[in-house]
Amino acid sequence: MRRCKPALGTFVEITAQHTTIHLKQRAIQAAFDRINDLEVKMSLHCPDSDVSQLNAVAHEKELAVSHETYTVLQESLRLFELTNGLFDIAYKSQNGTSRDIVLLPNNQVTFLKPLTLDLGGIAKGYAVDEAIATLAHHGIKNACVNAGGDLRYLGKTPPLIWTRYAPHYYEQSQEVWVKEHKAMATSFPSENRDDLSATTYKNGATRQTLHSPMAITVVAKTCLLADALTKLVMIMGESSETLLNQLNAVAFVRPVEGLNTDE
Amino acid sequence: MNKHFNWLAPVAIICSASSCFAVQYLTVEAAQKVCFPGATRFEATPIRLTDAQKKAIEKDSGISVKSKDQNVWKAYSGKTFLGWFIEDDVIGKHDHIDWALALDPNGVVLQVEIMNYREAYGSEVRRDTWRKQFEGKTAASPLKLQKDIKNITGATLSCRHVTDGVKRLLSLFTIVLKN
Repeated sequence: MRRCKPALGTFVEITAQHTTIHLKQRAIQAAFDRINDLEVKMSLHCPDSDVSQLNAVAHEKELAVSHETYTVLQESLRLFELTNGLFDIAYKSQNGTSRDIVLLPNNQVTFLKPLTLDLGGIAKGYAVDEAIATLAHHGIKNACVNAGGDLRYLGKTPPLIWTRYAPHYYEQSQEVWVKEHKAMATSFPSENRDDLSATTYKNGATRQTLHSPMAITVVAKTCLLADALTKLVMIMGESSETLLNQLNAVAFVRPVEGLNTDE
Repeated sequence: MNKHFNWLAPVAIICSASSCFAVQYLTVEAAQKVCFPGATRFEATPIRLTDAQKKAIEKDSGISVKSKDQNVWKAYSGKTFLGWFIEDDVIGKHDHIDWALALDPNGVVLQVEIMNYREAYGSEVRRDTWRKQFEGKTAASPLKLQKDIKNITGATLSCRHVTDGVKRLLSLFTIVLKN
């Protein structure tokens, strides 16, 4: 069974296999509910989200956030350290970086300066991971969650993906999957995209908008990592090799030219 | 070249779809069951908007109404009215997305379900030359070094139109169905 709903600013598609149809339906519904729940906690566009609350008051006092938001913050800070500040969820701040985020015990968070956090570069991947965990929890053995290209699967067989070969034809393959790697994300720099919802990516250290001529796909163990790494590969180019090795991920890169050939 | 970083062996995702170019997620009947699992029957109550209603919806929602006809069902469990199921379509980028909105009796959104999604691969799909390239192809490709993948949604479609659709149908509920 395969269902699709708008969420996380894109279309989220969930495919699940199970012999009992109502079990499948319940599991897929639970996975969509989980995604919505995380969106409400981490979206910059929800005024009540953890992220909006943190941005509003965390420089004045300690604030308790959900366990999930705390986890994503921890991972973001780890990547911030690993990349010497290139991956910075505080890039929207006037003044200050992820270094000014202090994670305290019991899911408490405080900022040393007023910051504007944006988890847009990492939270979608996390939501996909959690949706997969929810499906597994409901006893689903084979499933795939695809949130506009951030995808992860559950089960032994990787899903077939459409691979485009130059110049103009497509094939289904499983080649891009690397053994043990069950998650994948693809990022396009914004100026190469013509849809209205195109995202802009920024270099965390210089705060410059990225003008990468490349479309980047990263295959990794979790979708959170894959999601974050696409942007890092975009910034770092070939020097991202060490980081990819360190995080046990693989990147595939291709020039965007010719990719969006819509008239 | 390190095997973990194939700078020249690029790939990008299109989608995890199985075999066709359009994706049908759910039929109308299946979507109805997903939206109202407890329903025992669906009563078809199709509506045709009057010019005045069409204008009122456009004014209220700020979104133009393309069709005056709308397929609407009332979901019942026995005699209990559970809510409304409204079938609709919006333009994604070039093609239609069939979707459905489920509302409770008070007009609160219960579900948004995508039923059909047609333009998974961008406009290349519609070119004859592009389609012809499939003829006779097998999994063994000679051009592996230049392969790439394209994301099913990120590159060509926005779900903004579905969001607009929800807004428009909520106006339709207020102006037409509620009474």
